[in-house]
Amino acid sequence: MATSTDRNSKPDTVFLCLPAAAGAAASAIDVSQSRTNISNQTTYCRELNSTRTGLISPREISIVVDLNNTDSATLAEHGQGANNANFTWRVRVSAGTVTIAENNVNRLLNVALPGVGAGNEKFLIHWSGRTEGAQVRSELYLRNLTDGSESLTFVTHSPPTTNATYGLYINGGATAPKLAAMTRYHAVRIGRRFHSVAEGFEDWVTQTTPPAMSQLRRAAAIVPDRPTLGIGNDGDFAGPAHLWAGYAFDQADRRLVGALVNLDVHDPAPITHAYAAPNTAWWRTAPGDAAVHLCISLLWYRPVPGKCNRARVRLFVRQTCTAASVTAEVRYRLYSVSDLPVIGEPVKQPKYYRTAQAVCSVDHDVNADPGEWLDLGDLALAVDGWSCTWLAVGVSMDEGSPFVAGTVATVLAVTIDPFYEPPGDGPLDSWEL
Amino acid sequence: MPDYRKRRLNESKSSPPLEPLRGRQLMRRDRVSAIHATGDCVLSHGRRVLASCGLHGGRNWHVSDAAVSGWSHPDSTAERVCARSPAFTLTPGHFVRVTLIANPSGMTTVMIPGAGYAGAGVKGQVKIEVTYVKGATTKVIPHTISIPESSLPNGAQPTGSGAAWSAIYRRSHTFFPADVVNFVGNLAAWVDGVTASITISYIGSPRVLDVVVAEEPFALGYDVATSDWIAPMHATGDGGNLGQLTGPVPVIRRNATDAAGGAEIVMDAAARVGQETGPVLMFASAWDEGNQNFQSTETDFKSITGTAYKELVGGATFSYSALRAGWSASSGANARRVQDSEATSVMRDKSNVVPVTCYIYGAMSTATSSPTATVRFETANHSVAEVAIPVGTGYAWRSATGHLRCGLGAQDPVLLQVRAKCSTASGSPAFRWRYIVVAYTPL
Repeated sequence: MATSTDRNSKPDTVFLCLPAAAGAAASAIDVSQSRTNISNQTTYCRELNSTRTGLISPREISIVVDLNNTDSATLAEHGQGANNANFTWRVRVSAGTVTIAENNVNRLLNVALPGVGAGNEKFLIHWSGRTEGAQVRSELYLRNLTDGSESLTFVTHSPPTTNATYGLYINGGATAPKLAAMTRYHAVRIGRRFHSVAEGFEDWVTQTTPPAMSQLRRAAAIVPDRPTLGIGNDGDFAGPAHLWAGYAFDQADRRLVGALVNLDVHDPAPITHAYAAPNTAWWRTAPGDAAVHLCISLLWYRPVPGKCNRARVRLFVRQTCTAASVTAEVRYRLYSVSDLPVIGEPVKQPKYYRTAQAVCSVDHDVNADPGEWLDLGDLALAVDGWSCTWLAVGVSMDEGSPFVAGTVATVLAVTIDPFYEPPGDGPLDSWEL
Repeated sequence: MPDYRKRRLNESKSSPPLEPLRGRQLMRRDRVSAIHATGDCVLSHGRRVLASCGLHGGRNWHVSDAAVSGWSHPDSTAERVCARSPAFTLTPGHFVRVTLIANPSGMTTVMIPGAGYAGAGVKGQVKIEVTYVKGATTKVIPHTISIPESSLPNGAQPTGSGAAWSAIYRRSHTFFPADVVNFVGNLAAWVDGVTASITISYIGSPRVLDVVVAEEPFALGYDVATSDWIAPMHATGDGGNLGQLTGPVPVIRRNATDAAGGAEIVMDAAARVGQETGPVLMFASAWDEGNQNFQSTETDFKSITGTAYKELVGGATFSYSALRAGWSASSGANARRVQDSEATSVMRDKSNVVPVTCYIYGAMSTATSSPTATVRFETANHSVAEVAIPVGTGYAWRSATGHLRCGLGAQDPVLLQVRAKCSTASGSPAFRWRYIVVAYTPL
């Protein structure tokens, strides 16, 4: 019979139980890759001399358990399983507050369970730490899986010492405070790698559904490790080292790519259909479309990372209209231009690309909205001899709208993230726009 | 006599030919050489933005078009800092380049002892100062770019429809810490483990549309006697590709004093590239062109008061919300690492996490009642890096590391917001900030 592996059993996991409220017997079954069950003690579970869970840093502990505001229990620890005894690490709950501690007494954090009440609710306790210099940075994420409330707390502290004679205890120990029933436990996981809270969220709360993407994406290559291959000994192959390294190089060739423009505007220029604020000198019509206007305030000249031919563009806009509860239709595009004429340099024929237009006619004052994000889609990049491109926001308004005279638009944030799209892929053919 | 190798980073990398290495085939020079050569060029794509400033969506210039009346225009000689960066560890083989676009400069003033301020003519300059540090050696390199003057009365901005678009100047300058162009030994000394701090200042009345300081790939250079290279250095001493090896293929390395050519260096270099390099996710300055006080010698601070988290730019109180303004964190996905974002079991290729250092240049407004502040960099309610601001009114870079959710790439938008709160309302303290940076850090 095939052995199934749970999605939350990971390469670093040293213990995983998924009792799913089935009680102590189920809590003792290790469904991680270790497949080493611990001992069912009826009211608690333990593994004596548990060196595999006596981790210092990095380390991850996840517990999913039903709790209320009167519970008092040691939920999990690596220690001696008694109330006043020693431990490497410990997770306790008392009257609605979670305490994480190390080194017998060192309480690192006391954090109230979010939304805890008199009745049992399901909680995620996600505690993970990583080494930072000589210290450990711990992150404690508590989430009420019943109502969705959450808290995230940080602490930097000294690393604990561990003891090979200590055991792993789930739900206290013989003389430690414990929950009345082990049916309150849904999952316990202990791992030897730092898990980001985002990873914990994906594991225990909900998994993200990413959008469809056409851009080239690179893998997180396994780090080439020379000793793994034992290069140079009899019987070793040189090929795997080069294959591994070559693959890693290939996957690393866009690691330096950052945003072209990443801007949160302090005091945005108002845009009206007169295109005259603060004066007409700031405005010109866009190449190829006299209805679209470009403002010098929304112009950048940015170096383009090598191996990028597209950028994803988003604008955060806010519109108001003094005459109605909607605005005239405002249409936004973003232009990438090479060889825009500049003083003192030879004039070249500019080349440009633009995004599709994004349209908004919402009066954000009506509901006191801060504004909204508009996704302008993908922009082909026109790069000049300086490896730079001019980037400009283009705006036009529906001149036939009765509200156009009172419409004022502002651009509050601009994000332009470059990427590479392989030829022939994706929805954008810039010359068709 | 040192033996150097140099590899120019102006060659775009093509994909390494991996297929010939997959089967049970004999090792051949051309197969090995191809991996080494392509590995050398991986870092040719860097253009990381380290600092920027300019008009940037603002509603007006901070330079007046009106006639001089007292201290009505910027001082003609005072340096006014508009952007700073913390000390970035530069990508090996990269140096710093500034690119600038501007409209004609405006009127300035000068203080005449006993007579007050008077007009000092039309003038505008942008000074960029780069401080390179390598070990115990520091090189401070200033460079000033003069922007031609407005010929209009009072040094006014261009007038007439579209006139500002017809009056754009463009400038660029690259900052080398030494003569790395002509002497490979200098390049080898400054190629790896170098930090760069940036300061951008305005002098007089420049009308800067956009000034951006970014990394520029130049060349890698290493002394053969050293090790820990970030590239296999399949290169000649003057910057070219070594081509196919002419002698026997070194399996491990060329010899005891030359690490190049074999499997060891290619493995070590690939490990470094895949772990140590990554983007600068964002840079922000509190410089607000339309409202900046031209009499200040540094960017006017923005401030946050109260004990509830408030967003740093707008000052509104709210929890993280993808429906509000902010910055993009999507570029973090370009630098995903196996330990944080492996695609089969760690993040399941549904999202990514990027290790970062979050920096903020700030201070408390008062030391009375010993207030502190907390600044949170968030890409979700559950994806946070938290910077602690200590007691004190002296501005300094404060930072913290963290792992931020960053999505799968540019086409998977992820919003970054920065919020702050004070520890107490007693004494009405404020947290003041001027510059923010989020940069990849190999934690």
